[in-house]
Amino acid sequence: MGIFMCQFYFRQGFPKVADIQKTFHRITGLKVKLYSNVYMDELMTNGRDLMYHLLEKSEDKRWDSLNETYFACSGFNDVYLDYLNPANKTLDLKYGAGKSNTYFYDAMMKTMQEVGGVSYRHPPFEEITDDSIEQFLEPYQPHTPFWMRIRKWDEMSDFEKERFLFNP
Amino acid sequence: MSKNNITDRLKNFLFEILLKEEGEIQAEAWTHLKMLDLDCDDLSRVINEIPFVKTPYVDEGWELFKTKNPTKQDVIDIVKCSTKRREAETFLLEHFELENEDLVEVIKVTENDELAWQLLRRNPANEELEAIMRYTNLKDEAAEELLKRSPDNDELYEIIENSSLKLEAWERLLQQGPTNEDLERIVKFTDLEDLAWDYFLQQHPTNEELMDFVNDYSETGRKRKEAAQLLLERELGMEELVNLIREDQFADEAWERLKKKSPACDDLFYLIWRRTVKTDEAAEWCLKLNPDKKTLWNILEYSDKKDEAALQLIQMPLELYELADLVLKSGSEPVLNVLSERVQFDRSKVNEAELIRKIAEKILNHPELLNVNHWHAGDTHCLGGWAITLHEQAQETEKQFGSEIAASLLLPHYTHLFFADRETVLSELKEIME
Repeated sequence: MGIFMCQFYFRQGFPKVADIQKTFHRITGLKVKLYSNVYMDELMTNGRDLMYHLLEKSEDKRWDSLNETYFACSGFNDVYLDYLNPANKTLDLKYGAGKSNTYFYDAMMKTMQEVGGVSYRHPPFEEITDDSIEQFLEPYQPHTPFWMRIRKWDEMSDFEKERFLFNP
Repeated sequence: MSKNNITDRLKNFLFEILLKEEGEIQAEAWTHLKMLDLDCDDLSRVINEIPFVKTPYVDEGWELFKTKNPTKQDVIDIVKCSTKRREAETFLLEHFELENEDLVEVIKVTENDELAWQLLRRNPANEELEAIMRYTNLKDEAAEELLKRSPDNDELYEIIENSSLKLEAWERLLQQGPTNEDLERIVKFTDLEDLAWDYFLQQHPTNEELMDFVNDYSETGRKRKEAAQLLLERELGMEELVNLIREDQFADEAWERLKKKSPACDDLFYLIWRRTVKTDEAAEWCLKLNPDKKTLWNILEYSDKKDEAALQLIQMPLELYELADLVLKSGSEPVLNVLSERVQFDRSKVNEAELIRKIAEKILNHPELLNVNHWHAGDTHCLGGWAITLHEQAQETEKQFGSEIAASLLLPHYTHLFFADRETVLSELKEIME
């Protein structure tokens, strides 16, 4: 059992959930939904940026665990939206791997990058700012093996699908 | 639902517009907001730079804020986070009695010498004097006061780092008996580097303490070579020798000494994996030791001894996915033979040279047909994708075993281009056609 986590920085601000869904579908041919136990006010979220409101609902506006907020795709384990911080435009994705399939998580990472996110590795417990984060960014290289292997689920051979099975 | 709850939700709605929109809509949101009996917390969202973006209503928000009977902490928060820092500081001094801890909080942000004077006159605690030294120009005054008391080693370090009374603090430190840890940070971060280094050496530092200088986590580079040289004069374990090589400090000598200790593959794993100056030598050493699968993959991935490692790997039972990975790293004939047999692909009918020229011609005439990010995307393909597209038998193999295996069997000498960027692919294809 292990937990995967990936951090993303969005220069242009957080993506709309609709854009995430559209991009995820283009990459995988599958549907993704965002669920949350945070109460959503229709007036506030009508046609607007849902992620922003997730944060508005939390008590500490700078750095807050959103708990039960997750992306779901039928047939795969859920991918959690762990932190969302508008101050430095970052969010984290978390995935409890176990012996399960990492395809959904990998595809969510690819999606986040294709909607404007840049992944980064940052030393823990340090403040991140727009200036300091630049040195930790890892440019997205879609032509490299890891990202090339994430293709439409139904178009992959069984052998290619099996390669997403996580073996600890 | 209470009236307050509705008001709060309405405020949130308007704040969202205020912070995310521009122009007329934003101005309208601000007008509506002002009608909602805003408190200091609300107005902080307009004035503060963080956590949200700056609005054009900072000045107006600040004027309104002052009329709302803000608490001392409300104003300190503005000092800490807003472009209205100076105005808030003045307001704070005019309207509130400040405790020492308030002054320290403000000094840390504004570095205000006048406030530091005020604090100095109030018999500040030692840590408050440290704040004055770090954040204001009254470093010597604070250091002098601190020296009158009985500063501990940490406080003496602060004086050495921040004030001109460093020699006095240094003498005091020597009387108190500095630890090697105290001396290490003085060497690394202050201008008493040489004095502290000499004293450090007199205190017989351990290998571990010397290695801290070699590892140089502080990235000051101070006394790195000297520490490495001293270490080499001592008896060192394998881990310490590996560490010297990793840090590229006297790597040749360290490697020779390491070999005399007959390291096993596990001892050298890290040396290969970190792509050190001795990665290839370490890989060569391991290849002679009948290495296990893990070591061979490590060599294959990180050293130049790929073909040698591949030859040993194919003698072992491998899963198909391992073979697929292997062929991408080493397209040597024995590897290809094992793979083609496993997937029952007849390579005898493949003319690699002819195929790559055919692809090169097609792509160079129509570069828009190359898409390095996808194996297949409509009429465009990456290099490997094109090879499969032009070879019927390989398309069957792709359906069953995936694109990587199919393409690798067609173009084993060009697998490095399957995942290369566009410029690299085009430039190598041009070379092929020349």
